[in-house]
Amino acid sequence: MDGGIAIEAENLTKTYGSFTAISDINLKVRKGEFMGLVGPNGAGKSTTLKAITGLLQPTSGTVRISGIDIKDHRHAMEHVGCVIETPEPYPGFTPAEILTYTGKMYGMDQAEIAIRSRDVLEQVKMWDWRGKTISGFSKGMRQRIVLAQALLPNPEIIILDEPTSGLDPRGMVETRKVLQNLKSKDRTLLISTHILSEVSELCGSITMIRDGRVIASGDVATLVRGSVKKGVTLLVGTVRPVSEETLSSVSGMEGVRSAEHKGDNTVVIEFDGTPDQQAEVTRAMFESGAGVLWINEKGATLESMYMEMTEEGS
Amino acid sequence: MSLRSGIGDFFNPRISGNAPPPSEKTKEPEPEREESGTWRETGYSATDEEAHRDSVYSIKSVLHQTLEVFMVQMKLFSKMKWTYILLFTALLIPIIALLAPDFIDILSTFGYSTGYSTTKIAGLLFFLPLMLGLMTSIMCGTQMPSEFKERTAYMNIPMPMSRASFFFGKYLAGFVMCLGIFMFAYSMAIATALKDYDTIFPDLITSSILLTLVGVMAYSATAYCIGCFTKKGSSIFPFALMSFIIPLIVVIICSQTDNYTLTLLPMFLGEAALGILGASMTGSAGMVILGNMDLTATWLMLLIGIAWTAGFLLLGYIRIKRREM
Amino acid sequence: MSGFRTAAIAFLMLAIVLVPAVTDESDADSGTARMSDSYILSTDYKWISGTIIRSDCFYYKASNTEAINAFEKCLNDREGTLPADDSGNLRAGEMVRIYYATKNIAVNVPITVKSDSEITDKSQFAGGIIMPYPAGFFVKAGDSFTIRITEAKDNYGEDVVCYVMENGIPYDLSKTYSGSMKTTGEFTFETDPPSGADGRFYIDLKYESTGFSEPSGSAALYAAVCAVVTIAIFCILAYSGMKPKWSK
Repeated sequence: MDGGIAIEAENLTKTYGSFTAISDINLKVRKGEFMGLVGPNGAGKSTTLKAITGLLQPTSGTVRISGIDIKDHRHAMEHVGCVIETPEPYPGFTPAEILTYTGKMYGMDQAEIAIRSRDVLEQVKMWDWRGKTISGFSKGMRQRIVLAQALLPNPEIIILDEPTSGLDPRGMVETRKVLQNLKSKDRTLLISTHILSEVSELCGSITMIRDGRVIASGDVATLVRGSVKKGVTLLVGTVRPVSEETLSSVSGMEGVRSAEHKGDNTVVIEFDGTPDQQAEVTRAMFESGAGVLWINEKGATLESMYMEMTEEGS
Repeated sequence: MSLRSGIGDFFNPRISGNAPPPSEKTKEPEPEREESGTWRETGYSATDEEAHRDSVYSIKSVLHQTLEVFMVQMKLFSKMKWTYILLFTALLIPIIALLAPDFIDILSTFGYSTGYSTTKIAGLLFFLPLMLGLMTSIMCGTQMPSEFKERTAYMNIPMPMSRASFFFGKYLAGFVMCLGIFMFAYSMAIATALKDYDTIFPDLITSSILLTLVGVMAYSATAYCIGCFTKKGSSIFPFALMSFIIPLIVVIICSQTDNYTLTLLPMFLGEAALGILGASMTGSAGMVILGNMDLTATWLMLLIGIAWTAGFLLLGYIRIKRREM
Repeated sequence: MSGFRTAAIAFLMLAIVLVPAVTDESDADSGTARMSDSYILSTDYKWISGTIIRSDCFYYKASNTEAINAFEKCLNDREGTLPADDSGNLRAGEMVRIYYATKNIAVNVPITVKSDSEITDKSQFAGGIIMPYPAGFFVKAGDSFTIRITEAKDNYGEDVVCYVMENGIPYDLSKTYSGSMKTTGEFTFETDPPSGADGRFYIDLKYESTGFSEPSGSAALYAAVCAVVTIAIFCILAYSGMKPKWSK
């Protein structure tokens, strides 16, 4: 691995005539990192992933996977499993045949293919269908097969383009479980998805694209906190009403914009300070003697950040 | 730098000292692999530890991967009904010859000298030039477009293989499949002629087979290349182009100029393959100028056919290599 | 896969090695040949009674359909009637195959059946067509040949002049003639009297030649080679279609 960077895209640009699909995309995914690629429809996420995986040639810029230029496609993709642009397996084949073919392309022998296939098919809950022809499968089942195919060669890097789209809720949950398991194996994941909760659940970092450009990139928590201008709203539920003195004291604390009653036993605190200052406010509420039952934080979410950034731009 | 997986030695049945604890995620009971020697119905023996080992694999050579694509395409052919329909077409040769021998004898009315074994074989392969265009178009004309239409190309191309392996592996399968059908037709024709003749002209038969082989190469490369440039793919267009349009244009040009050099083109390889056996007519558009073809330089026809094949394959490969997905 | 690949390559090598690129050597030859551009047509007729009368040469009740046998018998039975003892051996309803030699492919063959009590005209469509003798000399594409016909007699035993037309001028083949062919085919020639003359069915030649070919390779071998290549390819097809054992 080149300096611990699994995927690196530098100044990636793709134009189609006068239309620029992506422009100067810079992306770095470290080894072991789970990165989400998010953005509105038509932002350039798929184009970026296609350029990274060699499905299309960028107009300019470079892509390296594990330090290998993507132009040397065979070796760059040797330890990569990917699902890009809703691929379909051969309808006349069975999952076993698809996985056998994939395994052979990755240099696996028959025994390894059989054992790994059992493993991945069980993970995607398709082992019992291994001998059935794919033409009879639903869309969700075919997607599972394609995911199994990507995971078969035990890749170090996994690149997925909306892996849970088209799956039922159970399928989505199971797919996320499979991807979660990869964390323990020190795998690298780059996933493009519309489902922000998926990004929150799986990814430690995100890159946000809009109009073909990167508008934000980095750690999820830091980005969320940094981009939300209006701060957060803390709702504190107590056993007994909070006194006015306590409210006044809290209002004067650093980072607190306002603190007021909402109902008898609920206090609403508008806060835009640092995490440490928030901890102080929380401690103050606990020490108020009103008996804190619960604290709820609203506003500092990935969703709100996404909405804000895709509306106003960065 | 890649490490071979350490589980390569589990072809030898191994019995672990203690059965590993059942996995929490496993719902079905742990199979008795120590007794059966296989890990979870896979047919190969391994322990759980070996099965879940963090293995790293290394890809094989370009040639190996090309052959894998070849085998996958052959598997696709084995599931196509057209493969068996075309095979049956070749099987009709002895069936018609044995059940309706008079039909074959009628060839003599078309100027065939059926007193000779090779001309009888040529008569039995009367429709070879037409079939050359039809079969190669059916087998090769839609190979590549169907990959993109059915989106199976998006499964293939991201894999760690070059587009050259993908392109040439599929072409090779199409060529070999067509060759198999035509070799079957030749064996049927020669075997049918055995009823009346024991001996043949070996050099003529060899030339005829070589001409057909190069014809299969050229026709399939043309159909394959045309398919690379079309979205939906077509069996009819390459067939019409190679079997009718170009031959008829050549016939018109030759008759106007009285120069038959253009008959060296691969579109006339089928006619040449039968003409070298002594056929005076063929079931194709090119039969009109069969009598004017110069079959003394079949080596030149073969070379031109091979060059044609290479040219169209190169064109198709450039198209696929640059294709944006 | 490697085992199969080896086997497949071995088959192909065998095919290439066994297919001789040897040209069939045609040496100077002098000999005799019978040549005919006649056809033997045949038609089946259900014999009822009486005598079958034909105007052309024919043969009847042939159990073998060998072209030459039929042709020879046609020549020997020119009168066109069934001998009485043969007709006595025929049972009513028995199928009789009538052969007749002709220059032209006739579709309708008029047959007259004459019995003691009546004459009936019947017609049968021509059935099988066979050509008893090759009408020329086989020449491979690119081969040069020479020929000199030293004697030519027709089936009547009369001398025949053989010639080829060159630029509209007849060239007598009693002198050595040289030629070559761009395509594989037959070297044929004209005769005087012409082949369409009445009763002319063949000519017997004595000649001296070079460049004419006779087949010498084993047809069975070539059929086997092509079959082997076919089987190898279809073995690959079958192997590729096999499913992994763990999928069952």
